[in-house]
Amino acid sequence: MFLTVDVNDKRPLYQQIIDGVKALIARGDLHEGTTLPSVRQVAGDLGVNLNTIAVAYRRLQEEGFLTIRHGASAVVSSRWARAVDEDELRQPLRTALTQLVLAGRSDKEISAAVQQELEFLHQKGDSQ
Amino acid sequence: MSAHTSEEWLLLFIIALYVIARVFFLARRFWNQPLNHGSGFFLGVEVAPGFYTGEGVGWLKRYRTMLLGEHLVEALALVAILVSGRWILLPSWAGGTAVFFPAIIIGFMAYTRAKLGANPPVRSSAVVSLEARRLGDYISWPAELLIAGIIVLSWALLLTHRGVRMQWNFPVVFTYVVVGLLPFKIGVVRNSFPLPSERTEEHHRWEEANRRYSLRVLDGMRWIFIVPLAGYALIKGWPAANALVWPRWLLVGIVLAVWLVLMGILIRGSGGLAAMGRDLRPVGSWSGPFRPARLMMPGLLAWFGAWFGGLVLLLVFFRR
Repeated sequence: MFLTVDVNDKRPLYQQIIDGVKALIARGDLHEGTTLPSVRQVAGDLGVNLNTIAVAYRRLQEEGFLTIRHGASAVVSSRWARAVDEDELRQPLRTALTQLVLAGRSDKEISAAVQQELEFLHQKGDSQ
Repeated sequence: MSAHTSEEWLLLFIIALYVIARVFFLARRFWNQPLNHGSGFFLGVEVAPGFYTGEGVGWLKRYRTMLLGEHLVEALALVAILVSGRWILLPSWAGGTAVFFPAIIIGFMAYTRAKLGANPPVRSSAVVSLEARRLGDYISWPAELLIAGIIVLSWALLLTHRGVRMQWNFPVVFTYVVVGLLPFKIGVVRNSFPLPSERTEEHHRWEEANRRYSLRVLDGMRWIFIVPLAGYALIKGWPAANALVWPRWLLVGIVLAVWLVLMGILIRGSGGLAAMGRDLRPVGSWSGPFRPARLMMPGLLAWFGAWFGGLVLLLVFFRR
């Protein structure tokens, strides 16, 4: 399993890591119980500050995706996020849909794009 | 040198094996090493198309002259020792070549990177593996415990010996080398690089293979020092063994066997790695978005420098 980070990406580095790990979990590439590399290892491999990776891991832990034991590595704890309000869950989708509508995309095009993204998300999981 | 003793014949046999191994590595591994990654690179540094028909001719010539010069110096020193019959200098010669040759190669690589690779390509993206690298997956702790046990027992024997003349330089230097290479192994496990976004899986496999190969080589080197340490302690610390001849032969046989295994690892491993990495981008030939191009982690380099400096100081101290 690999995680790509890009300096041209508008998201901060820790957010890229959070999103990358979540995508791998959603696709089924990272199963429950999988041990992730330590903060030191990821930071060393990328050449970034330890805190950047620590923040990303902490956020993932807060959202219920990781379990971090003191002195041990992080373990993927669940494929599902901690139970959150349905409205809260849909909020990012609404934001993305609004941006697509404002960009002039038709409902049909938006539906196709959503379908495409869903297929990409499930591609790996289905093949296993 | 007209009438050789059996020990001298054995030494000549070992030297012959060593010379054959060095000639093999010179011809098969080092001679064309700058071209390992094809004509787009020189010793792991990215070069412009047509480099080898222009500027590269001179670079290749300098590299090969350096290689031949180093081997010539080693050969002349060996011939001088053999002709003068001063066998006692052979371990110093062997140790000197083991240190001198890598130092020359690394020095030339550093020079190449400073001159040719001063401005490596910078990538905006980098890939990192999410596989956890645990020390226990690479380092056998039972084997390390065995090594620690052998060292402790050897020193216990040496420190409790009675009435035998002891040369403390051997056990001290050998212990220093063996113990000092354990942190280096840990550093090798931790040493890593961001992966390029193209052919990521292959680059990752190569890096993993290189890591395991380096650890096997380091282990082989350590056993070459552990066996004589234990043997020396046994012979010096156990009067009965000191009087016998066969324990010495057994010791030489074991060291030779370990050396042959190490040669096997080096020949197979280096060949396999070269073949595996031929079409891949060499490690340290590009800068990641957050990390400059470099050959190894600064911490590992600093530790190696300190360890090597300590070794030189020890050798100087015992020479006085």
